[in-house]
Amino acid sequence: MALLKTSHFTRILLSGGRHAGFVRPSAFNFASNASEPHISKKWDLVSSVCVERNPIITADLTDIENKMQIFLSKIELEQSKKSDHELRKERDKITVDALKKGNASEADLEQATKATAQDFEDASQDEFAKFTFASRKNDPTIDEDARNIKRHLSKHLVLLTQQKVGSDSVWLLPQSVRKEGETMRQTADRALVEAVGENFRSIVLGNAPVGFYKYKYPKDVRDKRGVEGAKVFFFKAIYQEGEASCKDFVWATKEELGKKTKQDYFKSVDQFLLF
Amino acid sequence: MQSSVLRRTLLGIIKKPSPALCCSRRNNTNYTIGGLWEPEYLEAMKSKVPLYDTLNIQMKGYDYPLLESYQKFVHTIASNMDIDVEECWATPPQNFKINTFKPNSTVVDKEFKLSMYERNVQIVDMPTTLYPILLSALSASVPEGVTVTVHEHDPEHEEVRYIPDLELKDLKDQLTLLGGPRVEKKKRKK
Repeated sequence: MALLKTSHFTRILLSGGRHAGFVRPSAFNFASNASEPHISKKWDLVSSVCVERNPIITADLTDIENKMQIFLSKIELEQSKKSDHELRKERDKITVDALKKGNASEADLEQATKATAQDFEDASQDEFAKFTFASRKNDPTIDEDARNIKRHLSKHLVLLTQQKVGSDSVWLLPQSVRKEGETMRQTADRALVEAVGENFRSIVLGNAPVGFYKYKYPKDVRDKRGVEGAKVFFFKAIYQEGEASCKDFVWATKEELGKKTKQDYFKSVDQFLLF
Repeated sequence: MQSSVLRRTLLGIIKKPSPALCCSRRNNTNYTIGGLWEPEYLEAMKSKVPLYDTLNIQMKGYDYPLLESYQKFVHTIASNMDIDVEECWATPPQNFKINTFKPNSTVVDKEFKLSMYERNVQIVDMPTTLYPILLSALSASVPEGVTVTVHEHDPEHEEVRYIPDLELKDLKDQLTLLGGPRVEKKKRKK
């Protein structure tokens, strides 16, 4: 009878929920051809965390959007009913005119001595003029500084770190290899702490990975270690607060991400990015 | 002889459960899900992924039209992701009166009246695998001045929506003061 052994990799995938990729069962023995068992291919399991900084301000409106906004606000103003303040202003104007002509009664005089709606409006306008809004446009130096969290306020940013993969250092999302007895989610948490330190606070969303990338090791590493390559599972996180205490890190926009990372790696990451 | 063989095979066909119902890791056992005569679709209809029971997405903000359009947007996102949106409701706003005082005195300088409006969207039976995607979509699209919290539904959240009947409450309090409701003995019908 044929025995079907499922590898422990498939068990991890099934518990996570969303299938991130196809994994072949590692051993399939036919009793009739049992001269030599099929050599199971070993893969390193890697958890990677994509920390996103959401936009702080809304994106600038385009020309058409601006014109439309002005147009719609004009329509809204024309179709709207008068507010309490506007009605009060009109009534005050009538009493002031009546006073000037000399037709006023005592009640009107009393009312006129109180602060009129116009005074209130003037005071409010002065208050508004004194208030300074935070500027929507950054200094160009802040935008160019890739390590600054406040760059490109209206864009999504992703944390990239430079890590040593084999002999060369590569720009990629913070990752680390799974140790024995860890779940993929625990590996992801550990990867983040190892990459950026304790002060960095972010929320990793969910226990299931959102993306998958596979790469093979060069031949000499494969022969030496007996491992085919690495399978990277991406987890998504939202940045809350804190400083990244890391030597080489960058808060990258999507274009920068595309330029700094390898083509097929970026393709896998692009699959789950919402921007 | 032939008829008994035929009868045995017929009985075998009727009583033996279909292969689809036999679900076991051990190939020998023949147990069925739910029972021998329960239809298969009852198990098939159940979700393969754990579900969240009821979640409330609560949105609060000072800017009324912005909040309303964001609630509409959240509803659209949820329905596009095939999530069951059970209900959407608004609770009465919290009105704040903020006084600024002139320096070193209790004379009121300026008075501001603000209202914190609230909108809720209730989601039912959401797969746990879909929830992080919804969260990331929500957090990426939150407009200025709006705070979003997602929590599980409590009976208190339901209670807040009802306007308390003060007259009824008053009468009930009076009744408790007088010594509680009168207990009537049940009259037996002959």
